[in-house]
Amino acid sequence: MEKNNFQKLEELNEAKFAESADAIKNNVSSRKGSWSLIGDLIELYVPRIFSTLIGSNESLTKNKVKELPLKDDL
Amino acid sequence: MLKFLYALLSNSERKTLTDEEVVSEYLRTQNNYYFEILYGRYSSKIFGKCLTILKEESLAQDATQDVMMKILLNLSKFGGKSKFSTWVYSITYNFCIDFIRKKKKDKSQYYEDVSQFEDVVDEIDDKELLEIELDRLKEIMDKIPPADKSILMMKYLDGMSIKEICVVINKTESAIKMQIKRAKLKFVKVHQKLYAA
Repeated sequence: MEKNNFQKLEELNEAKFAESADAIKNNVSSRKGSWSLIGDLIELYVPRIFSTLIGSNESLTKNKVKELPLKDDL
Repeated sequence: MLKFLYALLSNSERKTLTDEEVVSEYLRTQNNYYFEILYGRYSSKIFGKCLTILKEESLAQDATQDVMMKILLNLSKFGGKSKFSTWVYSITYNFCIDFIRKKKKDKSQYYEDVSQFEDVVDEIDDKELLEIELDRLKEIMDKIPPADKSILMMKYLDGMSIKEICVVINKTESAIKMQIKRAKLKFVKVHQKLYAA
């Protein structure tokens, strides 16, 4: 097999990872948890906000239509 | 006993599933188990690359976290056009290069005035580069600019083809070839400055 000191250098660097592996894994997991919580909240509430906005917009336009004067009134 | 069997089964599954299968299972189930498989396979490699480029352990640790998050958040964008490992390493290299650009640390004392060594580069054989003493290699890699360091790592460490490097760096083949040549040139120049006696 061909000698490759680039790989040896990386193996040396990788060996230093063991000390901090667990801490990094925990941090990544907690950040992943936060992101999925944000995702869940968005998934839950954004459609509701949209439907509320659309609903209120529809009722406003209905009211406006009602307020328009009829042809006979003019 | 059941626990032991489950562990045995999951261990063999961990080994047999390809990266692409793990990714699709993770995307389908969002199960932490598949994330852990990917973490086990790639975290130390990502850290190793970050440490080579960023040079400081604390920076490499932070970068590893950020790269892992970036990978997780973008997993759905992995289209399978390249190997999963190539995709992971491209995120890692680009992250480290961007990080250094932002920090404006990209100032190597050996960066300028490389024209006089152009004739030397053709004499540098890949075998010679791969077999250079470990201590020297580390010292030289610490001295050359991150973008050049990364491209040398892609070629000589990850064994990426020119086409794969094109995808990572988003440049044409001829531009990549030129960049590799320049990176080797800087490598030789630093080597000569440090060890020519």
